[in-house]
Amino acid sequence: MAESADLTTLLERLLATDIEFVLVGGLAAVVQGAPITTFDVDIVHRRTTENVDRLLAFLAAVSARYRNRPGPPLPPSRSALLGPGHSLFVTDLGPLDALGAIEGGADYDQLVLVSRTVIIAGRSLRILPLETIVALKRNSTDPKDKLRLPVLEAALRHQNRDS
Amino acid sequence: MNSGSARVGDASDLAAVDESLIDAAMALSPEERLRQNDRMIRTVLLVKEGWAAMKAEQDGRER
Repeated sequence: MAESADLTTLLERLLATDIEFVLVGGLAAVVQGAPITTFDVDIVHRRTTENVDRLLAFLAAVSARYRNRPGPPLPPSRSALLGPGHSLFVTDLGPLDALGAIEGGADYDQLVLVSRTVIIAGRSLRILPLETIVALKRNSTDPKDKLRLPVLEAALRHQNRDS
Repeated sequence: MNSGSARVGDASDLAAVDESLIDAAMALSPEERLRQNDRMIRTVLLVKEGWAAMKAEQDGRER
């Protein structure tokens, strides 16, 4: 984990670029009103060469390097970002996970179809809906996901009740 | 963050969720929710740093 984190600024700076991505994971749940605390920004980016090049430029601007790796800092790999794997970075503004695909192999092209748009800092942010996040977490074997699931389900009930 | 006024006692309490925290979060705008998350991170990091410093001091005394 980074010594400090300013995930709001990290997200706002991402939005100020033309990078195509969907916000997933804990921060997407936070944006939708789930009272949890999350320590990184998880995005699923569109894996076209043009978009990955835009993402690489952004990553360089925030000094992104792979986290949890021994040895000297390793800069982002273009070929890794073009693939379906998970690239876990630490940046000057906090941790950022660039995911080629998430559970079940769902990639940007699939997720963008079910995504919801919210306005952050005057820009459109595509996020994974809470109902989709809950559905994914129900199938997760990660203990952290299991602990959070009751809170996410309760937030979803509130969202459905209020809409 | 999902503790608060939730009951504590038997195993079923593990799944207890403080609904008032959800109401409070839902009342915020998406941007306010993001900033609140940042504030929570800073708080957690502060507590972790304090804990690490206390442990280091304690270990130093025991040596």
